[in-house]
Amino acid sequence: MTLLTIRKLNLTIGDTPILNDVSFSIDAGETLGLVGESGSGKSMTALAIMQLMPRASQTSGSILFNGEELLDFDERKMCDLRGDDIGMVFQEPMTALNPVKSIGEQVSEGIRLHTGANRADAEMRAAKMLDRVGLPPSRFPLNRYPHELSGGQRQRVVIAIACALNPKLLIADEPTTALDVTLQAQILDLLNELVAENNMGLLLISHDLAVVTEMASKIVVLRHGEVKEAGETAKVLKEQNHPYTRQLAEASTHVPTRKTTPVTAKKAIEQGTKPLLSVKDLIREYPTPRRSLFQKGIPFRAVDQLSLDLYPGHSLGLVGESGCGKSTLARAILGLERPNGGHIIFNEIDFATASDAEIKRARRDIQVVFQDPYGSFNPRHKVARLVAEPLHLVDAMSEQEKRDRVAKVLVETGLATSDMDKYAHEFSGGQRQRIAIARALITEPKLIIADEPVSALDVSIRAQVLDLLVDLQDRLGLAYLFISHDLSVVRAITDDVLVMNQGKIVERGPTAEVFDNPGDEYTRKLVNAAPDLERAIMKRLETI
Amino acid sequence: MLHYLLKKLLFTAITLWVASMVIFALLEIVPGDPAQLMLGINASADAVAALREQMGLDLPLPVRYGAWIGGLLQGDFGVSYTYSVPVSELVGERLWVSLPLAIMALVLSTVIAIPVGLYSASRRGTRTDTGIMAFTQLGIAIPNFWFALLMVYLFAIWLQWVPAGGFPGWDQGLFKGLKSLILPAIALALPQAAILSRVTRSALLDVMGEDYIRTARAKGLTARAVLWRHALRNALIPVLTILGLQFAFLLAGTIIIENVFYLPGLGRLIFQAISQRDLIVVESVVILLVATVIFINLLVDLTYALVDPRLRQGTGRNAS
Amino acid sequence: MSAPVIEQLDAPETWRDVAKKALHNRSFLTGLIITTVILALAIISFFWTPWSITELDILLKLKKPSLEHWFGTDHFGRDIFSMIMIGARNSIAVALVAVGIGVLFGVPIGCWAAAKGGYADEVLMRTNDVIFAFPALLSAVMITAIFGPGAINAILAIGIFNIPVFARISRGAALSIWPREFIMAAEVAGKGKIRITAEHILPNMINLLLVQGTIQFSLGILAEAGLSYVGLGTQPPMSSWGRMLNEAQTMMSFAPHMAIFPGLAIVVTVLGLNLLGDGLRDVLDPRLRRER
Repeated sequence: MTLLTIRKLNLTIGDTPILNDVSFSIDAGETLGLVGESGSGKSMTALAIMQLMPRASQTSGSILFNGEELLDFDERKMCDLRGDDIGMVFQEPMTALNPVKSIGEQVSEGIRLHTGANRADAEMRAAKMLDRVGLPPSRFPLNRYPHELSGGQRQRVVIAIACALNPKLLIADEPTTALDVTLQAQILDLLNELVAENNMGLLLISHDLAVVTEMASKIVVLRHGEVKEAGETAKVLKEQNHPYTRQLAEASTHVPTRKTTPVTAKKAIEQGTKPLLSVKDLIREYPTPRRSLFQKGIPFRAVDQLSLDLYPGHSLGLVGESGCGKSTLARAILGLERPNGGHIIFNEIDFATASDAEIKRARRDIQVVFQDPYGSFNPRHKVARLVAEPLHLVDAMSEQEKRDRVAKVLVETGLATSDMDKYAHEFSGGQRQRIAIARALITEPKLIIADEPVSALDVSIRAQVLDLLVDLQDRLGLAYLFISHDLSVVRAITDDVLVMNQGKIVERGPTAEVFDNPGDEYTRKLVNAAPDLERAIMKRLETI
Repeated sequence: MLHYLLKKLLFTAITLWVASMVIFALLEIVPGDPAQLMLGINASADAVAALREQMGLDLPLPVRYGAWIGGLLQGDFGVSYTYSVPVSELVGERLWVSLPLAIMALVLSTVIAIPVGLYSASRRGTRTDTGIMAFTQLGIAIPNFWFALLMVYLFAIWLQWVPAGGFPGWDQGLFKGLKSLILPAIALALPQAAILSRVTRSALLDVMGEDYIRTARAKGLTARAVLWRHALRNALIPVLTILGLQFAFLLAGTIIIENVFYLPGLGRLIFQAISQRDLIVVESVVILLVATVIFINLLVDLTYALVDPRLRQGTGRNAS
Repeated sequence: MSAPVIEQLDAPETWRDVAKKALHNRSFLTGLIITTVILALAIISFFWTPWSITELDILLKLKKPSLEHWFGTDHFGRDIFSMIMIGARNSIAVALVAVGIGVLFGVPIGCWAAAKGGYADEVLMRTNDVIFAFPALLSAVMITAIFGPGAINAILAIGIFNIPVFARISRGAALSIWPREFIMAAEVAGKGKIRITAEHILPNMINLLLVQGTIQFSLGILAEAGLSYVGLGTQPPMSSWGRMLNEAQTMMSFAPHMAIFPGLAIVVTVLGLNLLGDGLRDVLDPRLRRER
């Protein structure tokens, strides 16, 4: 029987149309994946089902749940439904739980509300539910508070809240986007199990085509509030009838083409090329808070005796999960952190012993591109000034010379010279990342450290930025240290890869070799957990 | 918890110590000799010197500071230059007017402000909300002593419901005492209540935008239940902060309000002492008030820990 | 303790955009008009007042408000409206200088603490706590007890209390800007902390300071009135709103107008400034959020 049927759903907020004639249906025990890029209206669809839209929203059309029209429900009836028959899981586990209430209170609250159970009974049920989602009360007593749990554990609590009363429908809005890949795999498994156990319908919302393909038997592709394509996941992705679906699938697996032959560490060593950047036994420690008034905290080693070599024109990937120390390493190389031990040698200049003038000159040759296309520019400066900022490292230069240089790098990154006198907020996310790359190029560096440069971008834009990076490497002979948690991106753009875990490199080698035949256990775990679109489609096709 | 508690206690002690040094140092640089002042201009040099010795004024600075602090800790504030009675007696009497007044005002302002803030937040954007907020905007702009003057005119001079001022003393009965404090307390409380209700409202609205509020709504809680069960406790933290600051203002405010109502409190005492250059009294009252403010801040910090489990475990606020 | 934090930085809008938003903001407009009128009255009072307030005419004493004397006269026969005009000068000057002291010392201290971090920051914030333990009125009492009453001492007392306010707010704002990626980009470009503070931190907290400045300005006017009322602020013959209320107190029963009008002047001025501050916040939108 059809559990949820949405027909011609329209949603406007104020005068802005958000959803336009959206229709799809979910059966009991079925998982439907709703994919789309940012601004496609996928989260709004979820909130419309829950009737929790922002103020000034207006809906028309039909949302039939279990044969009843939700758009006709009043607030009281919706409250009875929410948390009982429909559960919802959100994206941000760090903020989705009330910080001042224990996890037991938060899970049992819904149970008491809907069943009228007394506190003891509700808590017993809550404990069972927490046990089911992998938080056994022996290790995670009910009186724990959210801040005592990790992100993955918190997401399990959110799932426990949503599934506490065996809802008929579970809505999961990007439930794993904020989590590392290994945790993502665990949470997705858990959702699958819960769906099977309780014959739930699952509406899985995600920007990640691979995740949706792995999880959902049916898929709905949403763009600008309209359904572009819908149907069996395997069929939709195999045939790729709609151009947008094709574009999305291609962008997700896009590999830029290189015109020059890749530089690998092996070849460089054979040819006796000197490394451009050499990190030797680097240590970086952070003090931790005092354990008590009289006891100092034990310093935390973010980077633990790490060594790496990077050659001219080399594209080196650095992968690892959050907290593994990869960003600390990048900051240390950029001179933003003072190492507690070891050496960073660039172009035969050891930063630990070189004079300030030498270091300044060397720094010109190392530039950086950050992750966040929104946070990486001072909103009060125009592009000309933003892009020219690293010229601080170059000796005096006239304003006109600066402008000429800015114009040159803007053109190089595919922007127009006329963009110079605009503010960063006038550009889209992808264009801003181009500005960030232009800023990195302005000192004509030899090495660019790219810290998750495409992680915040939608897939289609991601592909364009990757193309640009490869094109620049071909033309300018740049070396990249490419830091990412996303294995598919690293595979697409790097020659060699380092796998980092707990401050150490656990495996290194040519990217394809390492990912296809991981030698280290952690690498294997990482590779297996990482969603892969092609693999997922193959699997889907097999099951038909 | 213990770690947090110890840390807060330590900071409180240091703050108190620094504050006492500041006060002591400031009064040291006052021009004029207290002994000369006490004896009058015509006193002989010998008599002044003798008195100086008796008062310990000829001792070195650190010793005098030590003696002063030591005395304070034992409740000995020294002897008033003008009245020649122990300062502790003078202060003790007046404290029983000022402190009840400040506490009454604080309670009154809290009791008014928090429900008003909650009500306004729950009716966000409606005409009621706009009306209440306009009213509080006005409330903030009114100086409390002027408000007091108007109330005296209205209730005491015109309607003659309450005495225009003065204090009968607690020995005349609790009711009579409270009755004479009620107008001053209202005058102090209402402008503070206006501020507090605005803070309560905006803290609640801030919290209502948090993700966990959405989680609670998805559980099936009504908007109102979410406000009570989830938003209020989280919103309490900024409200508590303001409450702590307000007590300091109220305490200082009593000094002014007592003037309007001719109340024999610390405020009157301090102004008399200033005009008579009875510095030891000024010093004592100031350190007493400052200590009270610091103590209240400690209480607020401890209440934070009750509200917020993240502080209780001493993992610090940035742990999450 | 909570401090406002800049949640999101916005690009500066053109002056035309800001002006357009301002013209549609009712509380900004009301506040601006009130503040301008009070300011104008204060400036005009330097050249002209309806009546002279230095010539005493006992025959005219305690007159009720009339067409001739709009707000009536006091016990010396002085025109109350004229006195309020001159009192405005005094209130504005005291509050303005006090805000100036707060900004001049508080902002650099706050920025320095945020840039430096660690022990410097801790010591600074604890010092702030000590100053916060002395309400403005109490420090005024002490300063007056030592140096005698006067407008300068009132300014000092209020100004000193403003320092931790601005230190705290600019520290909070700076702390929320420091971790941004554009600051890292500036560090990669080899810029020092002072330069980064000047180029990137300060310009992004200007709106916040403007809004807080308006609030402290109105608080300063209230504080000055309070101090003058108890005789610790402005001294005669200088006219001040607080002093006028002090003199009115004993004559409350037969000349309430002497208390009503100066009080209203305070209320209207403070209300105007608060509305202006609220309006500025909406117009400039520094995206404030309470830090917990």
